Amino acid sequence: MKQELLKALSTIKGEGDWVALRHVREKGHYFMARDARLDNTTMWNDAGVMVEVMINGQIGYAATPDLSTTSLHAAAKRAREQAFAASKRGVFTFDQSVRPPNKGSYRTPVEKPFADADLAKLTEVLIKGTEKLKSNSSIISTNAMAMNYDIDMVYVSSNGAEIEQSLSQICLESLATASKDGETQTRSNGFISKQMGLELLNENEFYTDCTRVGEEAYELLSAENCPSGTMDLLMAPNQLYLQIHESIGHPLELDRILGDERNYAGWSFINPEDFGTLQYGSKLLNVTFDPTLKSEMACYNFDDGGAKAEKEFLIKDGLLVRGLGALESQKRSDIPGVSNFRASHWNRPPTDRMANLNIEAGTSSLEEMISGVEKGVFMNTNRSWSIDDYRNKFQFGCEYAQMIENGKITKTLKNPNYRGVTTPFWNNLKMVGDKSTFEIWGSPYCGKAEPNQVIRVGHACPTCLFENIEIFGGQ
Amino acid sequence: MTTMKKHEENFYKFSDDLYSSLSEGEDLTLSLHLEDTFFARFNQAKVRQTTSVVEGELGLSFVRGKKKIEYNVGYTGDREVDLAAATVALKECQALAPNLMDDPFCPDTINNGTSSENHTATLPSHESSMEKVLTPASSYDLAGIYTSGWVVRANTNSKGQKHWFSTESCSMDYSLYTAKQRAVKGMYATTNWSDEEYQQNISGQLAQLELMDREKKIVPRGKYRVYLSPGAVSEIVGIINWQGLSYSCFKQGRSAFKKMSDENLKLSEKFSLSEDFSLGMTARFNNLGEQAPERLALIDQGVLENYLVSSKASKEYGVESNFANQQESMRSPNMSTGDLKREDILKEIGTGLYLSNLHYLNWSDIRHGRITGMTRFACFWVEDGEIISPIQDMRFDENMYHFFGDGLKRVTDFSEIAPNTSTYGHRSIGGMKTPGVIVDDFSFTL
Ligand SMILES: [Zn+2]
Repeated sequence: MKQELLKALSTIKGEGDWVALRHVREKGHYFMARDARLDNTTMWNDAGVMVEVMINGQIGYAATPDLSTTSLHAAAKRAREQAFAASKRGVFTFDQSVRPPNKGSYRTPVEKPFADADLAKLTEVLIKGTEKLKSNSSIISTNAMAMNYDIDMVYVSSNGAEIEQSLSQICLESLATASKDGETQTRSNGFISKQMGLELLNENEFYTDCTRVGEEAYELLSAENCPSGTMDLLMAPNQLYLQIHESIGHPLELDRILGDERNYAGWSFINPEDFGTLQYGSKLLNVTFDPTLKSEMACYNFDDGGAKAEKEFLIKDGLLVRGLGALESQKRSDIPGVSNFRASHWNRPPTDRMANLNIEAGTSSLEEMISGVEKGVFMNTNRSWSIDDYRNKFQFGCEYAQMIENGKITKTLKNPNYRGVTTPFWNNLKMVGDKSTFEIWGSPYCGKAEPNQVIRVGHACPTCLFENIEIFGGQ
Repeated sequence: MTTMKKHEENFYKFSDDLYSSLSEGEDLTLSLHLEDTFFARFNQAKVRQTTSVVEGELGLSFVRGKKKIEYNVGYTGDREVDLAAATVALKECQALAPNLMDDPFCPDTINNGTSSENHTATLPSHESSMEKVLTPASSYDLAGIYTSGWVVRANTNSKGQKHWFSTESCSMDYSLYTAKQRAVKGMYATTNWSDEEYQQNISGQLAQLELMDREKKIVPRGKYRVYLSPGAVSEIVGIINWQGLSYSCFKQGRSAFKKMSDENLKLSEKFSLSEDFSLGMTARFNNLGEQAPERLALIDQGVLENYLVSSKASKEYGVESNFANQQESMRSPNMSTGDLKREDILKEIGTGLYLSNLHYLNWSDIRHGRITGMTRFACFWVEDGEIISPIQDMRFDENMYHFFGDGLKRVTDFSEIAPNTSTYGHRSIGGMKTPGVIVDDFSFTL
């Protein structure tokens, strides 16, 4: 594909001061079993090219699925005309430095490629998973789902960029709903999302986990409601990852801080002068952008603007030091950033997105954290989320919780929720779990930008303890 | 022949070619999405990014006995290229199907008839559009997106069914900001661009923006009487549409209306919600090409009349299908109006909150119908029927059995269309129509 793109580029590079072509092919599978039978079998295979043309410091984008020379020429012409019209009213005048001429490649390390899988066998494993989920007769509904994406990207530009990257991502979900005497509860495995092959799905481990999920759904039926009050909150990585996403990731996106996103997802409570000065969280909080953590959802070597991706600290010892913004936003804002210029697909332009955004492990063991709690709640697995457009006032709900009293776990709780405000919340971070509590999570569904783009992100973190949190239960 | 007519005929020819590769006992349904769209994104009343997208996606729904496989491939309009890609996909389906377990609820492939609808529009050229949308706002801080172009939804199957729907429109989805970073939201959507109408649309928002510069009031958490504008109500109907009225979700214990069925609860007599294709904003046929009824009452005067039932759910649960889509979500919701006149809204609030927009709604406890979310854009504190000041954003957490039940006091005698401006994956079509409502004791928690 690279040779074809380079050939096409040579014929259209005269259309602008700078021209690039980004070709993306995405193949994928989605298999869902429900209640001991196959419910949904979907596959996809789609490709196209985004043509980017810079004129007078503006970049016009034109997408086409048709790779013929005529079509690419037409797209380049459209992109040129748009960029030219926009240059009378551009928000900023860019130059080629925002598109570095890097050369290189990346490929997800995969042991079992999805492409070689026995798909019928895979559907049987999922069906058997739903049987394991039905731990007893109070389970009224069970789901087991596996999904994958194989993405091949090639990017070439008139100033010499030549980048080839192949990503393999996989998601695995199991879910059981239990219902009895007017009470209904759902428990899931939290929707595992990783960058790897089908080696994620170990048959026996999957069945064991399905059994656990089914049993916990049933257990919730007779659990007490989560108490209300201000107390300690111990948060497992399967909930903390979404807290990071919503109340660290989104507010640190430089395009939000610059106001690009105000009409849709929103602005940010962070101001440009906060970088280097704002104590975002307690001294224990260390947050990194890390495209190198193996098996995390958004590993890559180059972003979609061709910039080399490296690990960077965004928050160091609680202090905000760096934003989530790529070269264009860095130029506009003069704030240090990262290589996170990403497009959801061939038909969308790149913008500042989260990729792998992590909390670094600390030094406390799980036992130490639990034993340090006089009264608190240990929450697991997100089920509800909402936050304001400045990313300040949030409310989250979880599937499963346990009461901690006098340093011991005493009982299971249903309907756990908590609410708070971003920086006071992170400043209440009291203990950070060690490597033994560190887990890699992620999501294929982060929505943002106009036109809208859903993108795949990774979040890894240890279990963490927060103090003075407003916790409440269900009705 | 128009370009659109040519696209339509090409798709039918392409379909027939592909159906000729089917073997005995196999059926295929093809769903097509095509679009040619121009997007211009703005910040500070200047251009941030421009993108034009020509794209097509073809969904193959392959059925052999009780085995069913979906396969989505690109569609370029080049018959040879598309036929090659679709044939590869079809062969994969043919090879995999015999090895899969049966889906006992697999719907039958039948001929659901033929329809063809094309809606055209008069829109500015892409290049001139940026000038047109920015000029009236150039002395203000504007952010937003202008979207323009056409979209096709089409469907054929191997039993001879043929449906085609195309629509063309543009929209300017924007917000305006004061120096103090206060904002109001605006939307101009049309099939016939008018500079004058657009100017009026902007002027209307500017009037509200002036009020936003007054000192902000921090309203303590608690219960308040509120007015939810049609835009705010559309956000609530939007979240209700997520797992709310799906019959499958109800049967699987995941619907907020389950409590209504199980405990025979009623909402307010003032609340009626229907699926209403007479709004004319979207195609009546679903991904199987089944034609939904033009109007289907879902909640009628507070009584749950119907869930949305797909043909698959119909087979599984033994109830009649109303030809909902696969997700069993509303495609053209219409909430009934009441008798509150626009000029009486502030008087009817008395003392409380006027909420123009809501943001980031989610079920906080779906089984009890509880929804949380934020206020956003032009929201005001009202005292004795007069707007006093804009408010600091607030979080609400309230039960729909309250705000569409006992708490629902008045419904406006007018409603507004909220076009579906979502462009995840592809450009969406359709929208919903909602009135404004007055609710007592609406709970704010943060
Ligand atoms: Zn997100």
